[in-house]
Amino acid sequence: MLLTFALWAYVAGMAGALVLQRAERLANVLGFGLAALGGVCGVVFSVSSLAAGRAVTIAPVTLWSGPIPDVRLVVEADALSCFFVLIVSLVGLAISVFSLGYARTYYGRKNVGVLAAVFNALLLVTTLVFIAGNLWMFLIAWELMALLAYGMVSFEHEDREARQAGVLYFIMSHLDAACILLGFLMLAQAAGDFSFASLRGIGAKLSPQQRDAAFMLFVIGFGIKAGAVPLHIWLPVAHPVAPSNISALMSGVLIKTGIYGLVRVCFEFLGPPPMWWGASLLAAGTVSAVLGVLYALMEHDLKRLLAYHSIENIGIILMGIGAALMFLHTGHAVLASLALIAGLYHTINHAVFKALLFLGAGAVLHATHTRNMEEMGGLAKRMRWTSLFFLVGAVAISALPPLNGFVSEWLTYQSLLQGFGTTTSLVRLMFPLGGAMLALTGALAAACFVKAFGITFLAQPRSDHARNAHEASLPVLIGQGVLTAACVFLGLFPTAFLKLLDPLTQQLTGHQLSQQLTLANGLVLSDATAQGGTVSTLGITLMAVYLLPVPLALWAMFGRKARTRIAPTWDCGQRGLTPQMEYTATGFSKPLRMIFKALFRPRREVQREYDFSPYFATTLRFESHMEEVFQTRFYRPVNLWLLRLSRRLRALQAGSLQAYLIYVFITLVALLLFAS
Amino acid sequence: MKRDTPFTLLTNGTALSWADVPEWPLAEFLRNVGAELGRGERLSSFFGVPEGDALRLVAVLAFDAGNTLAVGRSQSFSGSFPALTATHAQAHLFEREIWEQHGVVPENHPWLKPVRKDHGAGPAVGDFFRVDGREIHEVAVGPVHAGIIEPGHFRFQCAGEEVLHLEIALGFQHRGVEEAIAGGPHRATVYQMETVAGDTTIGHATAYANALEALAGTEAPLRAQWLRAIALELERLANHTGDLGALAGDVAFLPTASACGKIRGDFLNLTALLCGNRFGRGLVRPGGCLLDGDTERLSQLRKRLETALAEVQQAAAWLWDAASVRTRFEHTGHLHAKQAAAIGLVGPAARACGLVRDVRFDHPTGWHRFAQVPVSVWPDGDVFARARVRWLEIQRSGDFLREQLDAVPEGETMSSLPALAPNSLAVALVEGWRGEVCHVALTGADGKLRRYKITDPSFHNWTGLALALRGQAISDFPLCNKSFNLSYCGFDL
Amino acid sequence: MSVHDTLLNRLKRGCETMAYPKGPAPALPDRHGGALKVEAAKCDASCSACVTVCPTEAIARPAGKPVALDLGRCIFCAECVTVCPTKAITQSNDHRMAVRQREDLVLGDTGKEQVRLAQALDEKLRRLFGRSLKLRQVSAAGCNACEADTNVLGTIGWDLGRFGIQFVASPRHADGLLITGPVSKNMELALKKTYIALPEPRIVIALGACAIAGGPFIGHPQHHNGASGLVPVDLFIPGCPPHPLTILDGLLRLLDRLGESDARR
Repeated sequence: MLLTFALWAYVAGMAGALVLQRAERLANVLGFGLAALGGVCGVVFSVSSLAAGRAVTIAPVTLWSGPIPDVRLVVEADALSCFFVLIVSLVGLAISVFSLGYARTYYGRKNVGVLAAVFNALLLVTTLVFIAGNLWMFLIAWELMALLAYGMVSFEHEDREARQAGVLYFIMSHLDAACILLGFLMLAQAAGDFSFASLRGIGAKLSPQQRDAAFMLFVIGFGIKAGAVPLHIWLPVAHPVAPSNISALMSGVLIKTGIYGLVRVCFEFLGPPPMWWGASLLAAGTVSAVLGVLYALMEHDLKRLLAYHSIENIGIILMGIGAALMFLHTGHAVLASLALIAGLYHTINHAVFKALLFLGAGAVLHATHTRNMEEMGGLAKRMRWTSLFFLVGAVAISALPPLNGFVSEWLTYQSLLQGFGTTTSLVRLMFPLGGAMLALTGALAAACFVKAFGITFLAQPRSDHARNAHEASLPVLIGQGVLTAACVFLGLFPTAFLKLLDPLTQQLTGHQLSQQLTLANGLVLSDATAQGGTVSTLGITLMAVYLLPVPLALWAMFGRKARTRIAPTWDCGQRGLTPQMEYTATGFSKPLRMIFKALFRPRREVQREYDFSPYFATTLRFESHMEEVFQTRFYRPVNLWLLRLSRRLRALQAGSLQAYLIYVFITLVALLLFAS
Repeated sequence: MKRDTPFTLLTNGTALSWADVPEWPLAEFLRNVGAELGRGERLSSFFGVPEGDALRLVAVLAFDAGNTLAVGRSQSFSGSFPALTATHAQAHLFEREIWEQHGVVPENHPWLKPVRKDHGAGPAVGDFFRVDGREIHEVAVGPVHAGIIEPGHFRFQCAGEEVLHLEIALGFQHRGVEEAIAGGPHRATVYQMETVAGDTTIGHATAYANALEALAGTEAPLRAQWLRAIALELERLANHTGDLGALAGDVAFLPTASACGKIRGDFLNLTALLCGNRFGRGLVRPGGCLLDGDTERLSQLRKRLETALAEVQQAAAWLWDAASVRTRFEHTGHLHAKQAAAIGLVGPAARACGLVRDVRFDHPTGWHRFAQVPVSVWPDGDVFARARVRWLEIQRSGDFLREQLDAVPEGETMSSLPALAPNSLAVALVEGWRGEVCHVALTGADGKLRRYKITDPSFHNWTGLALALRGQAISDFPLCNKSFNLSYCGFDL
Repeated sequence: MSVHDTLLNRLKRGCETMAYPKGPAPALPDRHGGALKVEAAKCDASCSACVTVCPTEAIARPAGKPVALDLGRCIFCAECVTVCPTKAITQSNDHRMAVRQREDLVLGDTGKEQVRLAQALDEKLRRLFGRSLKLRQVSAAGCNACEADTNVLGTIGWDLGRFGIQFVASPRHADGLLITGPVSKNMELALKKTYIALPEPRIVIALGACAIAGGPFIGHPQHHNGASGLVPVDLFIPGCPPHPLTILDGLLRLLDRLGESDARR
């Protein structure tokens, strides 16, 4: 049916693009066109499945069965899978359309066919991750996803930065694959089988210590993939260097696989969670959110800024999921559903607006040939549609009503604020604290996007490239437009969308909440409690629209007589303003850098050169750096320790045949003892 | 304190024949000047006297410790000269001015830019200094900047909120004062002298009168000198009160701001009581004072002075008490004593860095030979110190005025001025409320003014403001600017 | 210094704003002299003592015509008053000097012994600015005395704010321009730009002898001898510097805020 068609479309796109490598335009159109087709099918499939409300959409189907017993590839789709397939298809669709125009920038420079093929392959394997039905399928698709993404990160391998980013991504991906593998092996050992069906609820069969250990492994593994602090160091390095459509896919979809994995494992496989599981996720989420946005504020590289924001939003999602786990522990299933809905709604929201922002960044990058915001400016007049779409994305990510970011953060706040009353232990303090930190990140995110939008698009251009920028091509604009429409829809019609999440929460927490969350015929969103916190984004918008005639009438009555004269900006009577007089991105964030000095540890350097007198400098140079706290204080020491350890272990590689024979003998003896 | 110097010594307010001014070849002249500056003396004035196609440099040094001035000149030369600024920063503006006015190039001048002349609808300094760095942005303020204030352009190089470098471009008010005096004094000259810096009317008029009286070989009558001293202190009182009010206004401390605004008007009205004009126009003339004060008038002046001083005491007490004011004032706009001495800072700004320099004390002339005003010094060098020095000067000027108004000298106030001696040089220094006002007059063979050099205290002090802003937050700029409160038109002439 | 002391002090001092224009104007300093009055009839035909003594050449005696004193050029040094043998030129101790037309400042003709004072703005502008006039001051090479006396109008004694008149930082927020100084060549661009930046309708006030005709520096090549050549001026206020009372009188006269008691001509 539709899903199969979608998967085959991806395969066809991959094959076609590879075959037609030399005919760039054909490869482009065929590859990305088929990807778009697959995306459409995926969206239709997932929406219809969720709307139908069935718990299981596709019963476990064996795709391939090999000669070794237990080694099979099984797919199944339940509500959770459909939800994530919706995410990958929707975002994939938009990015595919975008890529039709964007890939033209690579004509003659790089192999567009390979780009299109790998893109299709990525969509394929990511979908497979979501519909995997047993461990083999899951892990093989996971590994392929990591490899393909690594390939794309190093796509512009002429650039040293890209190569290094690729290597880091490769290492971190395999670290996370190792952790996940270990965790799943622990579960599979207890179940005796590798299929997801038999893993459900397996946590009950494990001892508490084993469950905790498995939980830790999964958190680390999926955390690395999702980009939670302190496992995030690869994210701001890898996402900026990839081609922009791949960055959008990575930030929008690939990191959500970590969320998918966590939800699947914690809610289905591991059984009833102790309090500290949820609390640790909530804490990790809070820290990721705050740190992510703080680092984003300090960035002047547009794509790195967006990458750090991904860390922040993953943090918000984790806060929702952590809160849901805590509520499961205390037995508040309704609240758990609410928190889970908040987390998952934010997942799709983030996928949509982050992809939108990355696509916008890609268009800007192509127009100005730089990622550095300090060299942009004045693009709003030259790239009207792109700036409009970017603005919508910025408003959405800053959680301003009436767009989608506001809805999911509102739901997250509601679940956190009600958490205080769920338990009497001190843990309940985490809820209001989390809410406060969430408020802080919201404010900082808004500040950061004022900077990002303002410095990039407003005022005068700061470089010749920016001055000569022109609007992007039509497919690029359409791709952004699709996601903008999605942002608006998800923001204005949350109650309609929530119906789609019913089968999900039914399956995972046992409750269907959309009825309780909807009031006034779908106009108002409620938080399902007696106190009745409510909000209506649709209502706000409609009211604004209804009230619009009032200022229009006033203008028609009084304003038309006023003459308009266009005059230069007031410049104190000087010769004229220059781009040098515009605020810089780093200047904008300087006060915050000073406030959070302890975290950033900024270092500033002023070099003064003078010929004769220090009062009359010939040149003055100013530079400031921030310490990369996690790298220098955690990863580097760990790396150094590992290297030292491996240097010691090198002693084992004595190079002498006798020594190796003794190793073989010792191993044999050990195995025999162990086996008996 | 006598010491060996090749320069001819000269008392403030006296003249000497041009031929008696020691003359050296250019290189030796500059070496001598450099040597004196190296010993810690101050450059009061340094300018060029055109002689046909060539130029002669004249230096007037202030030996503050020796209570005397010293003059010297170079032989005529043309083309260029080695810049003193390379070793002594206090000469920098003088040398730029010489370059601009006469066209000779100071070699190795580290900051050779025009001072006042505008080259094509832009600020005089041409291209502004830029700090390298990706995070740097410029903030360009002026010439029409906020407030009822004279025009000037300030170019900040900022990293975020921090100012790394400030370059001040003036010259917007260049009216051609020095050019107009040549061949004078003309009918309008004394009125132009009064408006060189309109709020320092008494200061500049007194310096002009002293210079002309020195050239004529006379002194003004004692009562006139007494009146001039009174008017000078009244001018100081009015402006310092206004400054305290403005500083308070800048930190939003309204009790003092509104009170001082009114009290300043009261002090200005005291000057108007003496001569009809709130700024002292029409009072000081070469030869004496045009108007006199009878007993009735002077006792009224005394009474109103007491009231105003009591009120300003109250207003200032509010200011020093407020913690919010002190946090803004302290450690803001800091200038070291070493920097101040190196750039030749004068006036309250210099005294607020701990430098003891005051013309009334170092080079007393006129009534200040008989009556002393203690020098007000404060060591810190920040905005608080500059405000504090102003406050001390208000108190001390008030004491001085009380003392003098209680002991009025007899005599006439105006005497006729004989003809000016030909080929003579006169130097007159007055401690205006901003600092040292220096007028140097040179007559030709016909007894007319061949060259007249005016150095307003702002000429020395604008550099101080530019230095004080380094490392400060840009939002403190209005406060620092007001704490210096320099004259734009006195600089621009 | 506690709040208590501050409040007591404030209560003791009461309201320090002057009653004018609802009461009599504060007296000018007795030596101020005020506006000049020219009675050409008293002039001696052969005498031109005033012409030679005037530092700004404000007085002219064309052959056969009576003496003409241009109050716009006058810097009020009163030399002509001192030197006139027949007391044809006297000081009237009148603080009112503001005019709308430049010609109104030339005294001497019969019927023009004293200044013809400024009329108020036309009704449309009076309706717009009468109760709220925001001014941007531009010092185009002024010596700072006119600026100081304008500043003092904002203090609590004069309190310009009670008439709705306020000085603003940006010309975009302003209704009018207040120009001081003879407009040096270096300030020409800035003045023009400020004028262009004012939204219409706008007015221009030339304050002080410099802004009207160049002041003590009249004739110097470094400036334009006043603002009239560059921007259209709606109000001229002579003086060097004009006493704050003269400035206030001029502004209120322009806005018709003086009341019938002081309306003249």
